[in-house]
Amino acid sequence: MNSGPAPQSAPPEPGADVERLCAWFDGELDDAAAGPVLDRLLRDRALQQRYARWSMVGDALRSSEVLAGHSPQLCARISQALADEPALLAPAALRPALKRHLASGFAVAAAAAVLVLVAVPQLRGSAPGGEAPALVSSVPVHPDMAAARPARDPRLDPYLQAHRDFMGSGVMPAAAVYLRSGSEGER
Amino acid sequence: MTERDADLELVRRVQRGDKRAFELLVAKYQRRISRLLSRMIRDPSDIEDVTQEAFIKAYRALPNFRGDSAFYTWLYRIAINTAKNHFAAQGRRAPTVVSNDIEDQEDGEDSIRLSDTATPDSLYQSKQVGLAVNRAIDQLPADLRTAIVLRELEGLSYDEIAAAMNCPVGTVRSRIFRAREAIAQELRPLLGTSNDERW
Repeated sequence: MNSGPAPQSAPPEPGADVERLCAWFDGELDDAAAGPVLDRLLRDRALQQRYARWSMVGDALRSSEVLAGHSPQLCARISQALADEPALLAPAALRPALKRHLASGFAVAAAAAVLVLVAVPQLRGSAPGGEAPALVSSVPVHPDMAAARPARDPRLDPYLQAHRDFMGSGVMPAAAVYLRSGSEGER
Repeated sequence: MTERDADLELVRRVQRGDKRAFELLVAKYQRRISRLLSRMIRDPSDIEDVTQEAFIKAYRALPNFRGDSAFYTWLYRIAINTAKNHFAAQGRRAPTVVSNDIEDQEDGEDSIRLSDTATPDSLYQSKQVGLAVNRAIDQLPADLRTAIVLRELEGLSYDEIAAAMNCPVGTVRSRIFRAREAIAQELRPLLGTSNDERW
C-alpha cells in the first residue's frame, strides 16, 4: 500500500483483538469499540490480510463462481492505480448517523410542539388570538421529546396561525389537528 | 452497527484521506464486481480492466457518496455504467440490465439476469473452489459449521445465532472467527496465496 506511512507488519495477535475485528467485519461491534479496531486494521498489514481472507470465505460460501473470480494481481493493479490518485478530502460528504438521528428527532419534537401549541388551546375551547399561545407545561411530553424539544421558534408563527384559521372552520377540529400534525411530522 | 455501517465507516475514512480504507473495500468487493462484469464481458483481460476502472471511478466519486444506499449498491451501479461505457467505446451494445436487479444487491444476491459468459477455465476454477469449500465445511466441527453457515448463508445476526444455538453471543463470535480461519486456510492453496502474500 502506498498511501500514508508504511503499515506495520507486526505478527498477528490471536485472541480478543482479532476476534473483535471479526465481529466488526460482521457489523457486530458496538460503535465505541469499532473505532480503535478500525484504527488498528488500517495500520496493520497482517490484519488487512485477515480481513481480505474473511471476505474470500464469505464469497466462497455464497458462490464458488464469485470466488473463482479472485485475482490477486487485480487488487495489486488497483492499489497501484490508487497511488496515482490524489487523496480525498471530503470529511463532511457522508451524512453522519448522528446528524440523521438529530434530524429525525427534531422532526418529532417539532410535531410534538405543534400538538402542544395548537391542540391544547383548541381542546380547552379558547379563542385563538393574534399571538401564538405559550407552551403549556402541564401537558405531558415524552421524556425523549422533552429533552430534544427546541425553544419556541417565532418562524413557526405563520404556520401555527394558518392552523388556527383552519381549525376555526373545521368540522372535527381536534381530530384534524392530530391528523395534520402527524403528516407534518413525517416530513 | 451493521455490516453496512462497517462499510460506511471505511468510506468515511477514505473521505478523510485514508486510501488504505478504500483498498479494504476493494479486497471485499473485487470478486463480486468481477463476477458481475464477467456476465457482460467475455474477455478476461477486459473484465479486469473494467473492474479496475470501476473501482477508480468509485474512488473519485466518493466525495459525492452520501450513504443513502449501501456502498455495494452504489458501487454496483458504477460498475454497470462503466461496463456500458466500455461497450460504447467498442461500438457495441451492452447486454440489458434489469433495473430491479440493482435493488437485489442490497441482499447480496448476484441475481442479475444477464447471459453467462463463463469460459471453460472459469468453470473449472469455480468447480475446484466449490469442492474446496465443501471439504472445508465438512471438516469443521458441527458447532463451528452451524455458526458460519447461519452467518454467511442465512445472514443471521450474532444475537439470532446465539438464540438459535442456545449459547452466549461471545461463543458465537468465537465460533465464527475460528470457522473463518479454518476455511481460509483450506482455500489458500487454491487461490495461490501464501502466508506472505497480500491476498
